[in-house]
Amino acid sequence: MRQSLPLKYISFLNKTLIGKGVQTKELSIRIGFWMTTILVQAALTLAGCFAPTFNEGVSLASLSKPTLTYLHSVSTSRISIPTNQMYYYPVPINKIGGFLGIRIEDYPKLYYLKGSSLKGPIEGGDTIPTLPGLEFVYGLVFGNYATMPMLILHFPSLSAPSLGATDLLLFSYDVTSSSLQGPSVTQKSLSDLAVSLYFSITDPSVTVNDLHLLGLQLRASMTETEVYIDTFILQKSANRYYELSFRMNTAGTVVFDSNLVSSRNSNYTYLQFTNPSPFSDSMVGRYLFSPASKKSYMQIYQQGLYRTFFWDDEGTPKEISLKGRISSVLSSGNLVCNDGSYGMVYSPEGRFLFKFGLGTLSIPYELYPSGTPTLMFIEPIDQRDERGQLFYETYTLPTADLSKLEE
Amino acid sequence: MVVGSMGMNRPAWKPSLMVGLLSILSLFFLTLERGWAEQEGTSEEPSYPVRKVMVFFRTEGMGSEESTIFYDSLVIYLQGNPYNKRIVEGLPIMGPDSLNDRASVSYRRACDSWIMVQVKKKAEEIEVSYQMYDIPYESYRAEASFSTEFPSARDRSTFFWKPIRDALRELPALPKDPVFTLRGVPGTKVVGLPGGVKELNAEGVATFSASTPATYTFRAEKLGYEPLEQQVLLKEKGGDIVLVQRRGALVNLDFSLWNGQFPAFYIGLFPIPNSLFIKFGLTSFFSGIGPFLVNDSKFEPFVSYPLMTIDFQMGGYLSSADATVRVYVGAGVFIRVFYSDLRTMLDPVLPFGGYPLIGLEYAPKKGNSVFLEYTPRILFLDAQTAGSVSIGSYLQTSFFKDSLISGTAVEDWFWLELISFRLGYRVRL
Repeated sequence: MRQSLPLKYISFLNKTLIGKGVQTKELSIRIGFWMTTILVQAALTLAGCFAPTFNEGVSLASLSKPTLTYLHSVSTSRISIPTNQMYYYPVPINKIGGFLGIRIEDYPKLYYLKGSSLKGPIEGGDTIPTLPGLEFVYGLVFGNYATMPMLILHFPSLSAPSLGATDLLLFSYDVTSSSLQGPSVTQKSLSDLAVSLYFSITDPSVTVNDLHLLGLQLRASMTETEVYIDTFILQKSANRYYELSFRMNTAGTVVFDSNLVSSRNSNYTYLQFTNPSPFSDSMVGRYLFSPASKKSYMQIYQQGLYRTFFWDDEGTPKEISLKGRISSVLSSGNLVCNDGSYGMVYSPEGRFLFKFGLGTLSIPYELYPSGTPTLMFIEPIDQRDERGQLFYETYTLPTADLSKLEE
Repeated sequence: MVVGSMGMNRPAWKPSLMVGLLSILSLFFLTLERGWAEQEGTSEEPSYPVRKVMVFFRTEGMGSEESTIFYDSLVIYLQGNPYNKRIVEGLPIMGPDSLNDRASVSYRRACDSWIMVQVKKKAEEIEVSYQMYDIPYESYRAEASFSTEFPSARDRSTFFWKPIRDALRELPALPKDPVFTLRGVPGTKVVGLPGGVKELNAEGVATFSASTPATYTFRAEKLGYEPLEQQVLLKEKGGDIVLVQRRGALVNLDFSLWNGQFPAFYIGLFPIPNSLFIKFGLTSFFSGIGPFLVNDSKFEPFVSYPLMTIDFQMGGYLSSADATVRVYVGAGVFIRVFYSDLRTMLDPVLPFGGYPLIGLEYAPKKGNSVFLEYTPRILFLDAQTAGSVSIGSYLQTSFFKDSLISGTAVEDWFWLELISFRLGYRVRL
């Protein structure tokens, strides 16, 4: 008669172990032990497939959300790329939605999301690489938010004059006709802005090839119909550092606004950092200027680490220790950094003030809807793997209330 | 007198009184001595064993039918004896020839004596001879014969067999069964001894009477004490049987992995040893095994979360303390401590919860054990979403982006964590 496998096994044990003097009770103990071991192994294997019911980002975000004001939510299921290749630029008024920039195989596309409807895409013709330590694109919303929100984009990797590419593009969304338009204007920050609007007047001998864009900041204006473009430019041959600010209106017209170096100290139009200068024409970083503190900041990425410098009217860069990437220089002059799951707030001089939970939230920019400095918070909720949609939920917080997030 | 005893390791499976959480809770209010101790133990008087006589029957000069009629009338007549002697038919009726074999056959039917009746039919006369043997005393108690005319049926049922019935009077009573006294923890129940279940009274005493010499195996159980299984050899003089009962474990320690991944440490206290427990536990998610991501080919041997749970459990065992496999049930509550960089706090999303528990404990050597405990959890949901995604859907997406789903939200009320178990090693102190 055929024996089942367990019977065969026990029979084998009887022959091999009992024959050597092992008692039946001990045999049952051994079988129990082995069965337990198998059970443990099975449990571990099973456990490896499950995660605990916990998400640090969700918990941290839920700490901050009660303080924030929910603004609107948009969703789409038509885009399948990961969220880390997507950039959502919300418009700061209710039910209007926002622009969604994505990159597929290095080619950029732009959509507009309103509710669950998707407009676009507008596709870019050039590949957009990512520079170390920087996003591949930075954007800022301005314009008439209710009828014609506009988006200005800056691609840091396209700013070198040798590329001949335009690094500033302007798009708009017509709320009435639900149409995404653009780029209505394209600009080259060095040739179209710096040379044409500044150096051609102050020093015509400067050529575009002698210039290097170290960093560029898109800064909101108290006037919704304008946006500031602050540039930090190195004149390579003379080792001069210029901080030039321009203004763009909704028509895409750019005008020179101010020399930021002169605005701090009227005796100078440029800076010359003592050697060795921390900045060279081989680097591109994150440049920020604060009208409130009259301080400038430059964050560069070297050997896997961020280094941050600031300077003011003395013109001498001082290195400060900040955790994470700078998200924004606030209208108050304070700095907000994104350190993983936490938002870090520093004084203009780089002194740590407090931290708050960000988690799954992120801060794209600070705007001035109705003239009130307001921080925008967004949270992606990606349910596309579950045959759902990708949601972007937008929250706002008056910048003056940021300290309420302090735990 | 007890002359020898030996421990027995025979595993037993006996459901206890606790069948659910309510029972567990109610047991909290029981004191260790209450209940059983209030019942009086039964005292046992020595008893006289009833004597049983096996009847063998042989005939000469009779047909089988006539022989059967005579035998039946004999047995019926003897059964009506007034001497409290029990009559058992011989098997076989004719009985063996030798004395020893007759004793042996009688013993097999629990008889302590036999009587052999021989009837000879000669023309119109009947000759009857009989012998009655007392096996314990190894002596003949009666040996006689008589002759008479062939009896009618009426004669057989009235007086014909009277001399034999009178001979039964010669069988003396057997000595009384000796009395034994059990001594142990009051309230202990003892099964396996003659006279049914014994329960020790408030003084910790119970008596019983038993046939001797004989070997008995009994089991003594008392809530809070290790069950005792023992084999005793009882001799004629009676005596005390002292139950050496060990109090059950008061404390145990659990070293385990929650979901086979995250280390947990529990300390258990037993208000009723070996039976009713309360536990306090910590589960750290700071360092755990896996998960081996299913949506990602990357092998991640370890994982870390800034989370800890603090548990409180209570429950009770449904199996006896000496069972190799024990089942226990109970309930627990817990809080989830999130130690963020901001401060240590209750998890703002799922701060606390509760669960029923059912566990299996495997203790091959009746000491330390391995255990598997299933604890499907209900977590209070303390968060809301403002947008178009419900909190349940939102959390489901967030928690299980890179792993299989181990739980689900029930509306926006609470979270059900179905994959939740502990696997570990339990040390009894």
